[in-house]
Amino acid sequence: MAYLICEQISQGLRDSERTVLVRDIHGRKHFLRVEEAFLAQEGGRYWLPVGQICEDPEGGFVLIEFPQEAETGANRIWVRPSDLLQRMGAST
Amino acid sequence: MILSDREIRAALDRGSVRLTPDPRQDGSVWSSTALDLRLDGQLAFWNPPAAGGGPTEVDPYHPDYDYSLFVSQSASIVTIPPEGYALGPGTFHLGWTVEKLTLPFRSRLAARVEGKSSLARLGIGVHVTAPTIHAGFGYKAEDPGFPGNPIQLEIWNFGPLVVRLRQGMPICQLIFEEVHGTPEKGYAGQFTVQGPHTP
Repeated sequence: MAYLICEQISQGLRDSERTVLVRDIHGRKHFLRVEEAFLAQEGGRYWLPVGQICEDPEGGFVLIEFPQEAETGANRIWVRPSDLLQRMGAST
Repeated sequence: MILSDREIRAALDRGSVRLTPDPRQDGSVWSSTALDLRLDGQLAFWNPPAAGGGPTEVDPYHPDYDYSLFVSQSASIVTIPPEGYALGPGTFHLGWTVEKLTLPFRSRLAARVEGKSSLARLGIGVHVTAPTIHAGFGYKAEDPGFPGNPIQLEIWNFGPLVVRLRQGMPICQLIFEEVHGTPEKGYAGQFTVQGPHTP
């Protein structure tokens, strides 16, 4: 399963929630509000579980799908492979 | 195709969907094609304009839109008291279900949250035109103990009555639908999607 690096974590609407900020390859910000326990932590960073759709063979960018629509409206965004963490587990 | 109660139970049995708490032991929450979900104990709302001020403007597609900042400045949260929360006419609140949902990416199921007719007849809606929950919701493959995410509700009172909301009341119903075909997710190595336009 793939995890997308979170650039920023802030409080959500209620205590159990966090608002995460992630960026696409154009630098555009996307915000999602999720339960804090939904996020993974590794290397001192927070990571958002995402679905991996495909890879662009020319640029190497990866198209991912959010677990829910972002507050900014996006469902799928292109990200840099370096912003993804791959973990072993059940298939995506 | 909408899943029947028996098919929803079968999906729960095989792990294609997970709800926490597990509804299989509670016959009262089922109908022939849906499951009732309950209202959790907190509600959020967007702050009304200050006295003499106009409504707050939000521009969610602006490149500099900062949702975190917007929430910190414009949202409030309230705990539903034991006597219930009076939802006045024309008001809008965000709420959450008690139940937490997981839809694995490969489940080939989508879910839809819909209102209950008893509340609808009083003027209460539970979503604003965005009822669909896609595969991947609340799914964390490496953490089988993760219970999933609650479903957020957009609760609005469109009628003339003050309707009292109580923690734990049946607030919505969840409908499951089978996805026809296989989504692109997981088609590793097949570049069926055009790459991004890069500057």
